[in-house]
Amino acid sequence: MRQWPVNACLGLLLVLAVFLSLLVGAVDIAPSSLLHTLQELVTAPANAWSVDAVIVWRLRLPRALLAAAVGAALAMAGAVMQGLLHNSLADSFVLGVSSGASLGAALAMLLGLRFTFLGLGAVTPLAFVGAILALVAVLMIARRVAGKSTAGLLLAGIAMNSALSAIVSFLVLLSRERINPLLFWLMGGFSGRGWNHFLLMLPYVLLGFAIAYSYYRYLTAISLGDAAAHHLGVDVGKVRLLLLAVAALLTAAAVSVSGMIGFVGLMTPHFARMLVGQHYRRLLPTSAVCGAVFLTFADLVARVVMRPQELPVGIITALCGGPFFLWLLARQRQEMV
Amino acid sequence: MMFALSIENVSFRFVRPVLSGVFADFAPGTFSGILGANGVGKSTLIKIIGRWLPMQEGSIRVYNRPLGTFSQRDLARHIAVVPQEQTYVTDLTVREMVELGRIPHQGLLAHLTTADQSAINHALVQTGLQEIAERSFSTLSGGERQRVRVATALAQAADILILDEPTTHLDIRYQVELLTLLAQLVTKGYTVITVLHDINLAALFCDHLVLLADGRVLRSGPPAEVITREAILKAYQCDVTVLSHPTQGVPQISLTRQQLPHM
Repeated sequence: MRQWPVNACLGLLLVLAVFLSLLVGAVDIAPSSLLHTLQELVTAPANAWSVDAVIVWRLRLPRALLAAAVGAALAMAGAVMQGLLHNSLADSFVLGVSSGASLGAALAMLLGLRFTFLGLGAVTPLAFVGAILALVAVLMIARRVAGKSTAGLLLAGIAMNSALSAIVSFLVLLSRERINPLLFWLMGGFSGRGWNHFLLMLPYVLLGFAIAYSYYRYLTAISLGDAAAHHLGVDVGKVRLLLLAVAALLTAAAVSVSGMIGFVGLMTPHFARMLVGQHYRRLLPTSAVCGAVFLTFADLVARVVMRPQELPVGIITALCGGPFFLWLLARQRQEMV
Repeated sequence: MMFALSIENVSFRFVRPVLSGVFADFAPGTFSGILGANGVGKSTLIKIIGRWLPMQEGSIRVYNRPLGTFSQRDLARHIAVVPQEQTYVTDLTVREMVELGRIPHQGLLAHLTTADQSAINHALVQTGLQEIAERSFSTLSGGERQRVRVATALAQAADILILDEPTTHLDIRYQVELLTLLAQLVTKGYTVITVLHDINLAALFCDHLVLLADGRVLRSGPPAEVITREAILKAYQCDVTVLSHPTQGVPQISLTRQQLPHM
């Protein structure tokens, strides 16, 4: 019952974050004129818009919505993986999915690929393909080497992650002149992203949520133990494979539009768990909203701390995430004692 | 006679032979205990029945229907298995834990039907948990937690209940309480099969015992036939005195101090 007030508060926070995102940036828009600007967007024809209206519609609104969508996707992926792998330190980055994406992006940038796909440059689709290939490889390796064990899957992911990261680092070294955009992309951020990116992201977030949520009972059962879920009639192997694929798709979509944004998937499900507990009927929606709120605010911070320069939002999330990770470890240790 | 569960010539190897040709039949509405020394394959047998481990050799029938013909979901409606205690912590409430027992009866997104609700409430009442139904599982005592596991199994509405060492971490009060609960379920028509470490408790509560040794059934039958000095010595390599329970008349073992041969 408690989840509704919690979700309502988080929803309000999200609206506030998006609202603030519309106001703040290289050019500030006064809160008093925002209402007028929004009105203009609805009523006036696009060619008659003021500069403020163009900034809000073309730059800030899609960016804020994209940050929210990416945050929600990463948080859901993290929540699902933590349950499936019985490991509260698991998130989608651990499975090598994100480094697969970064390899795809690095190749697109370094080879100077210039095709467009659905209005997007070469980086986003290649990152997506890289993420999916990495996931398939990890699942196949884990199946071959470790059978059903979740520890084997985690280890295969970690191995894949370090191998792919090494290749990306090597590629970065190889090409000095194109180093900057790639490094910036690797740090993760929403600079220069628009409606195309948001529209690419949206179906994955909605579909990912729909599938994962429809399995909430199974997810809850598996999070209590594979054997327990098996004896409740859950086909643990099949369900785990399906939901891992969903989590990877969510990550792939997120990484391909925004680069490597770490720790959102790790952190926000823990917040959500503290707020509404471990039952996935409550945990999954609340994680999604937590992730959306967190990343929208993080992006806001990334845009204002060093104005007029923008920081990659990945730096902000990692700055919050590092200490959080340590706190989590310390807390788990206390629970074990 | 149709058995609730019948095990025929089941063998299992994992590195070494664990089970080699186990035969056992469990009649409906009986309380059976599986006994045997550490590592003899009691848990393995239960895992094979619950299909957590594959059946390598032999056959198992549930009400005459081969185990392999059940889907996992279907099997969960006939057999409820309470595996050995696990360490995962959870803040689910007792009711939510018991609700999970309805998984084999539910569609993916379906709301709880009235049948689900009544099965859950029935399970809570039978295990005496209705008072603490809204409490978080992690705040419960060991005895209460085991009752919640049994309640989840009851909510599955399976009529065969299989438990793997349900009393292991409980103190004597909760051991007796849990076994009394299981015995009550048997009087209501459930078939209960449980692995037990405590021979005396098994003799006191079960009406049928299966004693495993060397991967086979050494003896099976009523406690008085199974628990003898020779059988216990053979199965556990431990010499005991078998006494008779002062009020219940069932056999009870008494341990004695021993000199270890190599000391």
